[in-house]
Amino acid sequence: MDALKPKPDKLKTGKDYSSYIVLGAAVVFVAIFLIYPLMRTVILAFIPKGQSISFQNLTLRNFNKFWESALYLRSLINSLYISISVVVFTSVIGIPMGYLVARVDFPFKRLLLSLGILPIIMPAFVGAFSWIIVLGRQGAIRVLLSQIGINLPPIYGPFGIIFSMTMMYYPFVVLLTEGAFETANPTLEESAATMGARLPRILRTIDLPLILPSIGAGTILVFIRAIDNFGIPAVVGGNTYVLPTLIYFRVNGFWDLNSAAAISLISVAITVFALWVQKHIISRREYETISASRSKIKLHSHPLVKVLAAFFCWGIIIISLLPQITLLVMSFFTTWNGLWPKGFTLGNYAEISQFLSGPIKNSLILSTTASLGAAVIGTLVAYIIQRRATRGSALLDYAVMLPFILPGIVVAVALLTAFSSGPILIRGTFFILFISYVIRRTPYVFRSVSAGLTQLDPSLEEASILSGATWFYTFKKVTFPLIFMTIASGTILTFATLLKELSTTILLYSAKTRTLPIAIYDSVNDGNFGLASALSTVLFVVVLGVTYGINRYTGKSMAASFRAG
Amino acid sequence: MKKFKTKDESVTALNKVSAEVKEGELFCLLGPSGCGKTTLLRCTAGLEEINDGKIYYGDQDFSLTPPYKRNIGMVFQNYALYPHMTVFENVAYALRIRKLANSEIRTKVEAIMDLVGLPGVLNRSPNELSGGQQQRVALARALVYDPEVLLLDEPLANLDAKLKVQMRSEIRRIQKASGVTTIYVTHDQLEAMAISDRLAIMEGGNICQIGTPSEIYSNPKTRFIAGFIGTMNFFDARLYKSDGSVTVAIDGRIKKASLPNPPAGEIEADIAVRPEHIKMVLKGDAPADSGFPGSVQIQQFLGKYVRYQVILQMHGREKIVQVDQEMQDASVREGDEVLVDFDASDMLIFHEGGRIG
Repeated sequence: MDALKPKPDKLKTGKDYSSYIVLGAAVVFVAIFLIYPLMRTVILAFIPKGQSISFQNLTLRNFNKFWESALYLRSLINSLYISISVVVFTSVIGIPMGYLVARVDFPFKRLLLSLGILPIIMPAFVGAFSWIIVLGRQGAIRVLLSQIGINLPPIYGPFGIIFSMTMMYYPFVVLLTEGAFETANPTLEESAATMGARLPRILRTIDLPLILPSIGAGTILVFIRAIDNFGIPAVVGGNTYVLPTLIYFRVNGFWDLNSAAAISLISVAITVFALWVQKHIISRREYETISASRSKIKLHSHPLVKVLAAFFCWGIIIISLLPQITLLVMSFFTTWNGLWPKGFTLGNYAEISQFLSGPIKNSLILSTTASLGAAVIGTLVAYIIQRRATRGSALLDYAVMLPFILPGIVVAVALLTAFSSGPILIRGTFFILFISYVIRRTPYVFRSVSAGLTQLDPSLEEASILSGATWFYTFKKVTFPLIFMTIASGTILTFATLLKELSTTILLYSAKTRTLPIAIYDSVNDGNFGLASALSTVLFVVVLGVTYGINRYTGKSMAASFRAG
Repeated sequence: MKKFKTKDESVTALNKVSAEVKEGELFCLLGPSGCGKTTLLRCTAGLEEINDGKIYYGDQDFSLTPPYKRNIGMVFQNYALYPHMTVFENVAYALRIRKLANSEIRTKVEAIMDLVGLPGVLNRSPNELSGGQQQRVALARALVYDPEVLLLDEPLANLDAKLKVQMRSEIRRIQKASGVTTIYVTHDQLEAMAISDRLAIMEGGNICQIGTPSEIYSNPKTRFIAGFIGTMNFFDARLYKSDGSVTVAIDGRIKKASLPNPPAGEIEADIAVRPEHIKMVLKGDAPADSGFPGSVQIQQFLGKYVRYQVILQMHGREKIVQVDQEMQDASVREGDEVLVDFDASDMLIFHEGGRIG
């Protein structure tokens, strides 16, 4: 029996330091590759271009350009008005659609929701470029509409950006609104009805206040994506600059990291303000609308209502799926000017083989390694913060979540400011891309693992510790197996997201580190729409396959995994 | 065997607490929720750090020993069975950490499963077992490595009433068979009285009294304990010394008591009397001044006893008193006018929360 007891000489040795070592490693990584670059970005924003960093050189000149230069001011205004327009249009489409899907009985609603995520899965700039095919100067739909007397505004410019973004992002509003209506407690509406309230009053006085936080979350999500997006304005912007394309222009055209840093700060400030608005004004009051007894909400079933709802929802879905259909068609043709595509060919797909050893391989390697890196860091940090609330873990929490609010191109600027000169020189390498991907994606893994850990009863781990297991043994044998599914699905979704990454890569790639999205972007700019479509179709099919597979594996519906945003 | 003494001012979950648990005994920590009993248990396990104070096992100070080196067994309220392991792997978990040979692990696991009365489920998943069975597995898992101390945190809270009573005696049987020193936390006073050798009553982060169940039932040290354990009637009274004894005046009725330290002047006091010590007769059967007049509001049959709720008029207000009578004597019915009274020797006397007689 004595063999079971711990050796007396071991009893007094102090704490279990393994968690501190892991915490330390995470802190070092975050400090070098996130905090240091961001601090350098902030400092460079206040230093004139070409000057060294010193106290005397501090200046606001980089920010003054927003008043002095018409281009800067217009970019800022464009960013704001385009993003706000996108919020308005996605709400106008998404909120009624969310309500109709949740509350009207019409056919194939699940299919509709599943199809609804296709626009989200599509890389943004690919969507924009496929709109050029059908709505461009010679686009099939423009030609068709002009024959019946409707003349659309030109696709290059604000119309193209707002239209592409709206068609891409409205599903976020639909999914969140639909989810809120679906889970709302039906007895609240029923009790209002028994007191004599009619539908419009119920919607206004009961439903709207209850789902406002969800709508707020959905619209802020759309706003942040719209203002951060680089790909769409880069492809259909024409002469219309927005903040991300202006940053790209300053870095790529003039190697002006100082201006880029200043623009980045303005851009981040807008994002932070938007999040603040959401947190303190829109979602100030959160309600527990999920009822214990899940009595089924009665759906509207008047034939006329059903027909109108089906027409509206399916109409929107079909329009928003035009890019996918267009890409598929275009990938088999050489040109598409006017109503019909011309020159059927399989050559576009044959050409893909040239990209296998370069961009496609690069994308696969980078996405795989970076999603694993994000998984390791995100999981460990989530575990430490949730379970071993050691000193400094709250700071680490903020630090890890920071990239969540940083536009992709800002992360690229930050890394360039830190690692284009100085002791760590990694510009143009795979490593800088790897780092940027890990930094950008860790918050997503971190968040999902944190959520998984909150649902995992701590007493399971305590039972293990009392059985004599160290912290690391407990993590290996109890915690990790129980949250493995969460980690795995988070990692694979990260992989799929990274495959289509453009906004960070665009500033960080070099000739030898070109990725698949870069190859597509270049083909679009070269006017080789057939090849771009074939590459996009392949990319889209892979991303869709991975997303679908992981949802099947975890048993979630496709739509559910996007509701959380 | 085991002492603890803690002082924790930052959280103030626990104040100055000191208790000693004897080897092989089943010791209960009993108190209402939020009284600090679970905190004290978790401090003992090392799951919560103590700012001040000491925890000893025998002569050894374990206060700074990390929990995984303390060799403690613990059963959690929700059992905390690992859902991704079989029953066997759950129970064998600690033995694997101690790197025992496979054959030895199997022998020990089978022996302990026999002891807890649940053989033959080793290859099942914990999720396939009933609540009571999961409870037994949790006990087996905590006992299999011969811990110095077994800690049980509200182990019966998740069971239905009938299973609760059954598992209560099972836990005591298993504890006595294994001989392990056990600390058992519960907020259920019936459970604590039934199961423990000795118990500590906790309130507001303090231990108010330590003793055997019968000591605590018949000799509660504070007014709080008197009300917390079993059913108790309280009467407001005034108390003063008069020629050698002490006079207790309850709404005009006078009783004589002898107090070890009689008060100097007149004081207010709470008089506590158990329902079984209260006598009750129909109004016409005794002189009108032989008791407090009242009327029977409700009667409940509790097997051997009948419990009456009687409404008295006291200090100008209605006061409800619980009265127990044995079945064969219980002739009073709801609505009857009655007289109730009790002997001075059955009174427990409290002043400002503390016991004075």
